[in-house]
Amino acid sequence: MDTELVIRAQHGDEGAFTSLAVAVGDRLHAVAHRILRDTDLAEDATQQALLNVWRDLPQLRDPARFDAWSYRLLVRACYAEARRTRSASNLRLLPADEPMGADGTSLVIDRDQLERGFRRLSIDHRAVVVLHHYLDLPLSEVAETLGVPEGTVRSRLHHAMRGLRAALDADARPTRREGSQ
Amino acid sequence: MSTDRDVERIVRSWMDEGVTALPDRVLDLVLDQIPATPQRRAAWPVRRFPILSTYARIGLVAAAVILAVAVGIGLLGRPSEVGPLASATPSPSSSLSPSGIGPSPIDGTYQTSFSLADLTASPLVTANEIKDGNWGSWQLRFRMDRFSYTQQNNIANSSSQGSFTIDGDAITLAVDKGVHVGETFAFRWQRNATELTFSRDDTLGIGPTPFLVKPWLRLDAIALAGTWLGAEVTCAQQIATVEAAGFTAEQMTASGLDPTCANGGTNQYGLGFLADGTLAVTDRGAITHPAIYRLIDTQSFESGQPDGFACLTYGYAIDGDQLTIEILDFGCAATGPATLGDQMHLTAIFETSPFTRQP
Repeated sequence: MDTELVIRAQHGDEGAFTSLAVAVGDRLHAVAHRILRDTDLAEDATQQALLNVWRDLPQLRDPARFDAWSYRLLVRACYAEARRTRSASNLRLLPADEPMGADGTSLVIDRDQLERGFRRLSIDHRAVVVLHHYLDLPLSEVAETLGVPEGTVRSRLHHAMRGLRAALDADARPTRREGSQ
Repeated sequence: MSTDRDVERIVRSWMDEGVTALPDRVLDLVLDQIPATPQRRAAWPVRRFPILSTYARIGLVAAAVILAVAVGIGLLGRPSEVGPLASATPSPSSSLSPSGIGPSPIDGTYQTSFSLADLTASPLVTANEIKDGNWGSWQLRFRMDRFSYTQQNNIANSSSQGSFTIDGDAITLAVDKGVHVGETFAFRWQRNATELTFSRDDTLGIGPTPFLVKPWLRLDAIALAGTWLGAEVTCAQQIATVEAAGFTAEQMTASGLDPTCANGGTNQYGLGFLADGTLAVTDRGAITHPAIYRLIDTQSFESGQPDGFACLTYGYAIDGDQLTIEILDFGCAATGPATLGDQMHLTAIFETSPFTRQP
């Protein structure tokens, strides 16, 4: 990221912020969509995160750390969106897919099994998987981004990948109904 | 059976699919709001120190992440005058000294809170100690041979950490990180079932007044400590609670709440007040968000996300095994009002049903 742009935006330059938002908007949205698995929620989270970036930019001490900092604000916005789906309101629950038959291609099965397995993960675990496996951030940077110890990140990643592996392996086994008939 | 490498490859491939572009209308919405959105200017340098962390686990949930806050500057001044000695009745077994290989008799997490007026009124304070980094909400933690403390008010935040040694009722804190790095403090100390108290003894060394203004409450001993479970509550009950708090249907809709409860549904919230200052808020056993809490007094506390978001001020009353919570302020002293959406969601979580202590 162009730190000069960040510094100008920190000082209230709206034009610089527009350039920043254009530069990072797609990436933030892609991450939000992969964490939340819902287009509307991802758009809301990205919108809120970008507004928070503008509002809190003067408090960013090191402009060179803008990327990690913006991801942190985004993950926080994802928490807020997810909380709305499962906390007080029960308004927009993340859809839970129905199990599908085993007649698709392996790739389709993998994708659907992953989708189901991923939706079972908490936002904490999803964020670690996305930051590490989608953005390719090293675990130390994931930890810094999320504001948690690296050991916590390792633990979450282990738990998440174990869950996803179980989801994938479940597809290789006969369903209970198939097994009982 | 998939290997770990297979799973990682499949996950990475799956992640590469799907939406990437942010729709222009969303970007336009953001940019349209910028002229009317003031930037928050830090009154003091923030995020100067890395966040301290620890783990927490409660019975309701598989695991919870906790964060302890540590930011800012603030300076404890050195007392230049001798203050009156407070009597010290040693409660720890004498000659115990943390060695780094076992717990010490002072291990635990403690909180205290006092205002600038309280600090100024202290008979122990010296003129150079009356500053914004020396009052507010404090959290102090001892574990093994290490300690850390944080201070927060609406003007200044600070933190320090280091190693400590105990010799009977004397404790020495050697700061090796944070705003007071290089300084060494020493006190007499005593701890009872609910409080930790420091007193100054100039024969031991420097004992800054902020440690002495009020006793430090033991978080493992407060009445709130432990886990609490609310009743199962419907969407309609929660909406009624939010309405009773004064929020309108329009405000709910604007914040993503559906006042008609078209999708129905129920929730069962749990609260885990952990001895390290973490508040685990759960719904049916799953963490809804990580939070910390700070005691204000024996009837109220502040709680919010570790970075200050969604912080509200709550009052509480405990009657037997029942905990009732009401929101006293839709914000916190140091962070100001929470967002409207957080105000309503947290109202629904904390006020719809009383909570019952769990074994």
